[in-house]
This record gives sequence, structure tokens and C-alpha cells, in this order.
Amino acid sequence: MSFYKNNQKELIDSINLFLNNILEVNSLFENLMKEFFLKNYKSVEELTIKISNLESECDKLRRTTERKIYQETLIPEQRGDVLGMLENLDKIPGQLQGNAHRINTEKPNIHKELHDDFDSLIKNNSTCVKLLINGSKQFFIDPKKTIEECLLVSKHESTGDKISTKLKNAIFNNSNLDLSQKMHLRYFVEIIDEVANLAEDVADRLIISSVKN
Amino acid sequence: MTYLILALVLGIIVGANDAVNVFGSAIASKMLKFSRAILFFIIFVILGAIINAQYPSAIYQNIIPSYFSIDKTFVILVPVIVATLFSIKLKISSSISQSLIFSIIGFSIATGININYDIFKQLIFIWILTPFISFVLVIILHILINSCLNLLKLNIFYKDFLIRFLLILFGCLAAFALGSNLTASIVGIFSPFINSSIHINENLLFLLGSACIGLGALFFSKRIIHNIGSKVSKINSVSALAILATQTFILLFFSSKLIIDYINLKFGINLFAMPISASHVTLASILGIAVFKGFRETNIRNSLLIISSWIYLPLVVFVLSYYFALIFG
Repeated sequence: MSFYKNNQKELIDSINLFLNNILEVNSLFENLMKEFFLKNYKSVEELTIKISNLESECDKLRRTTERKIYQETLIPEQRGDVLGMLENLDKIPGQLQGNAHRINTEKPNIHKELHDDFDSLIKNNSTCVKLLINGSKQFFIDPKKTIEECLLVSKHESTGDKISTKLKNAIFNNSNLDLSQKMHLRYFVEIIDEVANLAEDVADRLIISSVKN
Repeated sequence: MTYLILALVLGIIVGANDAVNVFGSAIASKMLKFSRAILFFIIFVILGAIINAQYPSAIYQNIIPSYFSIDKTFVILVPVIVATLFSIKLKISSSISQSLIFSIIGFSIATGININYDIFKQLIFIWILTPFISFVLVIILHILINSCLNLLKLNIFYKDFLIRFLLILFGCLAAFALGSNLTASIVGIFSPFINSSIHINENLLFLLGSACIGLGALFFSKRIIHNIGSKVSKINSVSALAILATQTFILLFFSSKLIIDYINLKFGINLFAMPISASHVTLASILGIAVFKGFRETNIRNSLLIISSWIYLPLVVFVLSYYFALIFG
């Protein structure tokens, strides 16, 4: 039986590590954007590397966890839900890593007057991810709390949509920007906002899984 | 010795037929692997047989006070083997103890041996009563287990661990109880011949019987076990635990001399250790869970087919044994 118990403990630890890594990637991306607005490109590059490394670790952890759950035929009833949750959650660090690389490589010209809106969009997305991770952690203990947290994710995603629409209006109404710049910035608004969309997708699935369990 | 071999063949058939009753729900709920479950089953069936089989086996001597001669045992065993093989073919787990008793009754009526109808009536009463008790008990246990798990607020992985641990624990206890019951059923009819016609130690006889049950479970039970989940109702881990706990309580209750002596003393009744149908207890428990869940994912047709086998299988055995006894008796 101790074999079983050690397996369960290892799994709980690796899932917690996976979720904490996503939180870490999320916070690193917030810092990366702060550094980017301050034009500290060296720090941006360093943070991009850190995010990439953590994203790879997340991939490894997800694969190991999924394999262990199947090999040991653990949690047969929730197995599908947990594996679906891990796979969908893994898309978030992937998206943040992609965003970091694009910011680092393309270095979009974000005008000062747009900084506040970009900042609030990033903060809002970050809140979405934090709420989702809290909800995901609760899924293993108290599915009712997962539902509460996931409903908040949806609420913040809607706020994110409003911010991104406002930002896009501000970009396209800015006469100091030419069309190519406008298109470039719009692209960045969309990829940054995509994090909240992904978080909402995972949250929706988690709500269904929580209700089921 | 030929008769003993026949009983051991029955042991193998019984193993194929009855392993499902102990770990069937746990395997169907995917909480235990077949190989691991069968290993526990074999160990505890043997232990149960050696430690406790003599108590429920006494029923065979008591039901027909003037016991038949040993060369007639095949007339009793063959109908039981035929009926059990037939039920295995239908992927239904039948009651060996009932088949044996009905075979003995059929034989006794045909050959004019006196039957203790008081014991027979008590047996019938308990056999009818146990599915109803199981039906109610499993619902109570399901609610109780669910409430405890919700109260503990465990991580699902620890919850999974706890349920697996309890499934193994109750499974081993049920296997122990079944070891007493089943071995009592298949080799118990030879108990009166020990030291007269059969020169073999009683414990060795029980060991042989239970080992055959283990072999039957190991090689032939997989098909029935994997069938139980889909045949009657889908079983989840908590339901599997409630079913197994119900079975353990009922089997231990009726096979334990200690418990029965205490009940008799406490309530002033004359209950005796008897072989209980684990198959009936299991199915009644599965149905209890199905009803509790509002018949979701329940195959009513198959359930009714299995319940109908509770009536026609003992009758088939009775008729076969009666005519066998008329021909060979």
C-alpha cells in the first residue's frame, strides 16, 4: 500500500509543480511587459529564456503526470477530466511563451499613450490565469470552489474583451500611427488577449467536470 | 477418491463463478487490476477455508440427519456442476450453496432419506431475506461512505488511495468469508465421511478445495468479472466499495461462529452458520445502488434475467438431482 501512497504523493506534487510553474510563467510575462515598456530589452530577452525553460518543464511534467495516471490506473472516474484539464492548461504557458518570443523578436512600437491600456489588459489576463490555477488546485479537493473561481475567470475574460476592444479603437483612431503599425499593434492586442480566452476555455471545461464529479 | 476429484472440479468451476462476487465490482470500476485482485482472492479464500470452513459446512450434516453413502455424492455433485457450467455460459454468477442444498434435497426425496425441514425452511427464509438486506444495506453504506469522504475533503488522489485500500481490505475479508462459505459448500458434503470413508485431514480437504477455487478464479473468472460492470449497471468506485462492504458484512455475519453465537445469546434465537449466496448478495447490492441512482445506466432486462435464474437454477438442479437419484440411486 505504501507503493500506492508514494505514487499518489508524487502525482500530487508534480501536478502542484505544474500549476505553480504556470503561475510563475504568468508572473514572468507580466514582468517582461514591464521591462519592455521601460525598453530594457536585455531583461526582456532573459525573461523570455526563463519563460521558455519553464514552459518546457511544464510540458515534461504534464507528460509524466499523464503517463503515471494511466500506468497506475489511478482516479478512473476523473482521469479523463484531469488529463483534459492538464492538456488545456498547458496551452496557457505555450501561448505566454509565444507572446514573449514575439515581443522579444518583433519589439512592437507601443506608444506611451497606449501603455496604460496594454498594462490593464495584461493585468486582467494575469488575474484570469491566477483564478484559473486556484480553481484547478481546488478541483482536486473541493469542486464547488472550482466552480466559483472558474465563474470569476469568465467574468474577467469579458472585462479583457472590453479592454482589448477599447485598445483596438485607440490604436486605429491614433493618427500618429500608419496602417502597418496599427495592424502590428492589433496583432499584439489579440495574442495577449488570447491568454484570457484560453483560460476561459479551460474554466468552462473545469466547471462541467466539477459538476459531473 | 473419484468423488473427491469431482468435488475439486466443482471447486475450479466455483472459483470461475464466484471470484466476481468479491472483486468483480472493484475491477469493473477500474479501481483494481485483475491480476492483483485475484492474488488477494486466492490467499484469503485459502485462509478462510482453513480457519473457518468447518462452521458453515456443518449444515450439510444437519439438513439430512441420516447422511447418504459416499458413492452417492456424484449424484449430488453432477447436477450442481451442470447448472453452474450453464450459468457460466450465460455469464451469470449462480449460487453454489443453493444448488448443492437443492441437489441434496432432490436426492433425498428421490431416495427417501429424511430431511430436516426446519433447517431447510430457515435456509430458504435467510436466502430470501439476504438479497433484501443487501439491497437496503448497500444504500445505507453508500450514503455513509459518500458522507465520510465529503467530510474528509481529501485530494482526489488520496481519496482514490483510500478507496483502493478499503476495496482491498473488504475484498480480502469477503474472500475470507467466501473461502469459508464456498469451501464449506464444495467439500463440506464430504465432512461426515472424514476418518471413515475418506482418510484425509479435514484441514487438508479444505485447503485442496480452496486451492481449486483459487485456480478456477485465476484461469476462468476474467470473462464474468469484466461482464458484471456492463451487464447490470455501471459501477463507480464508491459504489464498488459499498457493494463489497455489504457483501463482507453479510457473508461474515452468516459464516462466523463468534458473531452467530453472540446473536443467539443476545436475542435468544437459534440461528446457525450457513452458506449464503454471495452471487445474490452481489446482484442485490448492485441493484440497490442502481435504484439509489434512479436507474441511471442500469440494464433492467439483464437484471431481471439474472434474478429469474435465482428461481430456475435451483429448480433445474433439484429436478436433475431427483432424476439422477432415481436412475443411479
